[in-house]
Amino acid sequence: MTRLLGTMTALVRRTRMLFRRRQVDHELDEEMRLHVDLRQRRLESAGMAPDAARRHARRRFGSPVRHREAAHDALGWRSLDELRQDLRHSLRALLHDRAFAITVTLTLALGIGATAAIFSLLDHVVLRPLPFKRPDRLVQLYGTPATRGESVDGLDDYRDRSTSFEALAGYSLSARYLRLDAEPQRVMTVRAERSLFSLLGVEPILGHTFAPDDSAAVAVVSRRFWEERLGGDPGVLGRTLTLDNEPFAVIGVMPASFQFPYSAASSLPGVVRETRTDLWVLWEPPADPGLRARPRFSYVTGRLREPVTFEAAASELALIDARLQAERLDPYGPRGVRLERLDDVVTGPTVRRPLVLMFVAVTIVLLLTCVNVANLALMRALSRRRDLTVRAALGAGPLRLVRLCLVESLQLAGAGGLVGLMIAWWGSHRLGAMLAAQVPRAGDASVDWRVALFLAVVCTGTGLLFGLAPAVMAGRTNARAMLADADRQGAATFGRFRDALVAIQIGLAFVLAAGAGALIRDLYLLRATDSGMVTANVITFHLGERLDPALRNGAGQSVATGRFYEIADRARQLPGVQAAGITQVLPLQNWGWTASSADFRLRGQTGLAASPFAMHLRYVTDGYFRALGIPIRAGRAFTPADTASAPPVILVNETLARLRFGNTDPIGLETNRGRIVGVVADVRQVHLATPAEPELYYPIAQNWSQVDDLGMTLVVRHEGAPGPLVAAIRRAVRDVNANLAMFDVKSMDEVVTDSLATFLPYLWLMTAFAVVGLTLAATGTYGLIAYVGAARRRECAIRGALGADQRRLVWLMLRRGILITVVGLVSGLVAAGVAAPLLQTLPVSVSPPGIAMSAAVAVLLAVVATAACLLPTYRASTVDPMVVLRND
Amino acid sequence: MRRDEIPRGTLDLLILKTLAAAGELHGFEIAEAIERRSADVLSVEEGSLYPALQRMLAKGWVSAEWGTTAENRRARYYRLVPAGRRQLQIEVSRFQRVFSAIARIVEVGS
Repeated sequence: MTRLLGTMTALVRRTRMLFRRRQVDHELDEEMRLHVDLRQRRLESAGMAPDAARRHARRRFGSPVRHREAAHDALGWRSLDELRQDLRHSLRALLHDRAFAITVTLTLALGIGATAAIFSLLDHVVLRPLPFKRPDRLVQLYGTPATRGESVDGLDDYRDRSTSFEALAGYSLSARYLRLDAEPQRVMTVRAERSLFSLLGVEPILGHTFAPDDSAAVAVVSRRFWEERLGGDPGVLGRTLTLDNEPFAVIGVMPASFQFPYSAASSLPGVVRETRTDLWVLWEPPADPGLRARPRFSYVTGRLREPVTFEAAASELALIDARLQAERLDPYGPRGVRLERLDDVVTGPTVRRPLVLMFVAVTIVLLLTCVNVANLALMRALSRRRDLTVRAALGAGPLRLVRLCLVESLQLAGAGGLVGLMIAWWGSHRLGAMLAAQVPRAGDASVDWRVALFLAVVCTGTGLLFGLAPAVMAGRTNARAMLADADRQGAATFGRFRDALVAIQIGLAFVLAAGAGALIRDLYLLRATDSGMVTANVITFHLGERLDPALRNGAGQSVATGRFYEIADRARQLPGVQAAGITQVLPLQNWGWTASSADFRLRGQTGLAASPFAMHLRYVTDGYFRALGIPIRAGRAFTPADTASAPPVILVNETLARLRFGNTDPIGLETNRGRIVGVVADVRQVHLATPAEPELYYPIAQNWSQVDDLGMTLVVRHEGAPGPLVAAIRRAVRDVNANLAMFDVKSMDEVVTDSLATFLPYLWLMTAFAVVGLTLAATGTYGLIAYVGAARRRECAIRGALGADQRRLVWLMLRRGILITVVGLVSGLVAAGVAAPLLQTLPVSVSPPGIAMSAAVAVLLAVVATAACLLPTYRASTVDPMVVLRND
Repeated sequence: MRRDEIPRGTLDLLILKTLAAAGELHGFEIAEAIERRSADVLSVEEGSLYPALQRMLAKGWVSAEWGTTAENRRARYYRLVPAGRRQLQIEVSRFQRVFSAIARIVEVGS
């Protein structure tokens, strides 16, 4: 310990001396001068002549310069000086060989930057603990069986009987409409029990969270909402927000990192690509004690009591469930809860796996850049052999030579890292923004100290990795042998090694290209899929309001639905509009309502169907089918005459007709859900990759239960540019109902693209990686063959002079390139086979690259590699023998 | 004027010993003291004293302070610190060990 301390203080002392180096030198000089002077005086007083005394004193003292150097040595300055020399020398050499330095720096920057960007994403999304107090103790409760919904019934029962939890807090999500300016806006609201914030253990940046004495009319707002909608006003506390005519006082602002629950808005049907939560309001138990007995929450989060384990809590809940089921005797069968860890809920396998896949891919890119740069560095070192040899001959030890090479590669890696830092910064923000809608916490991704540290480590690692080969070569430099045969030795020793490097490159590039190829093929197939709709020239608007309680039943609801019909009518009458209709949710958007086919019977029929299946329910106005270009296969579509007072009618899609009625013509059949008046063509509602599912259509006028707070979507088919139309439709909507908020205005094509949003970012990334990989492999092959060509110029020239066939010479060189390519491709094929299961981890199932795809990619790579060989081969074979031989 | 070279590492011992005996000395005084005590046998190239002093400063065996000599010239005075005193003991015992070993060999050989 004291020894360590001693070393430390000695180090501090040395460093301090290093910093006042000039002064240390100066003092030493003065001291030595004094010594010589005093000696001279002593000799003079012994009777020597002044001149002689001076000479004598000096001789006795020795060379002050040498003593000073010895002092520097003693202080450990010499190795520092040497390092500085190395740095300066390699910097000068790199500046001289600018093409090399820039190529290497940019290549490395790309590899390192991309890796750091993906790491930043992985780190922020997966590796970092959730920003709550002791997040490992947080759990989520779900209702079972999932087929009856995952909301938790009778939370109080669990609260009363369980001893595993410090606290349990239930909450529900809803869309509310806020009127700040002229246009109402939709806000994503969480209604939570009072204990939610204390359970999560997160402090607000302003004000306070739900306190015991807060009334129900309080709201805590998100940082983003505070900044974007409330202007970041520091005096916002106490300000009243009016949500659907209900006043709420703002009591606190949460930090930007606070997102609870993650992807809240996306869990609401009809809301696509929304991750934000805008505000949290207080849920109060209803005053009516009868209702109070079994409150029902969509979501429940809990904190485990120390030291209860997750498993213990889960088994306790199972026990409670068993007891509750005996007491409740639920007519629809047993109902219980299951437990999941909150971090598994937020970053489950569907979130984690694609990111890991991307990280693997980017690591391959990084390896490729390393191999490429190693090859370049090796080439450069070979051409610098004479320089190294001379140094070795002048007495530079092998360590010094190794250091020289490593200093250079670390310098390059450092430069690459700096540029890479910029790429990482830009890339992580772009990626984060791109993935923010689907991946929780992706929006937070940025370059911070963790990422910077990772980058520094990667930088040093790559520097050592690609500097190793030239350094080993430099260390082995044998002055005598090299001077004797300066050209051949290195080339022979490292020829095979470099061949292997290029083969590795081709193999890695193959893996990337095959992966990207599989994704592109799948995207192409998806986009080429007929969705059943004509999506061009269609524009969609989402309209929503909080319904006045007076409009929620009976006559009030026909007023509410009537307004939507009127909006569709007005839109249709606008110039340039061909058709307009309304639905609650568009196909390919987040899906909403389903029912069991067991509950779809012919009138008078009893008994259940043999194997019930789920049917989608869609509520539309009469113009919907024309607006989306969905054909009616048989019978008729809805008409304006299908009003609330008319006899109830429904439409079925082809799949439902086939599954439910087989060969029977369904038109005119009377069912418990209304008379079937038509069969609609199939539309892929769930995903482009999934065939159409059974679907049942209602006219909104006859089934208004779906006219709720989430609002409706207006679909307009138009001709010409949509620009002026949007404003006209906005006016029409406001004329009919000024309370309606209008948002998510996008073309139907965009809606289709959005439905692929979970897939596209990964596709772009993989494609980018593959392109980079291919480029690196091509330049690597080119570099190798070009070098071999240059090294064998003399041989070629002699052969040519002796009359060898041109074609034979070309073949001689090409053969090597082809051999390397084949070896690379075969190893790549094996590696791709190993990596193929990774593709299954993407949110959309991607089939692994088949034989045809692998063959196509292999051919592409072979063509690229051969093309890379051709130019240098041609150049080598067409040299003028006389020129070459004279040069040597 | 050839002088005997002193064994490696011995210079440190001599300097430490000198400082231990005399307290505070500047470079020239240290050189003179060593010469005087060793009757000129061991005197080295005098300047090599200074790199040795620098190293000892860096190692924290001695401390130094600028002062003035009797003739009113600026000089750096060195002084032993506790770490140096410990080092002196180490050096002395090492010297004795090596010296007695060499002495035995020399005696046996003769």
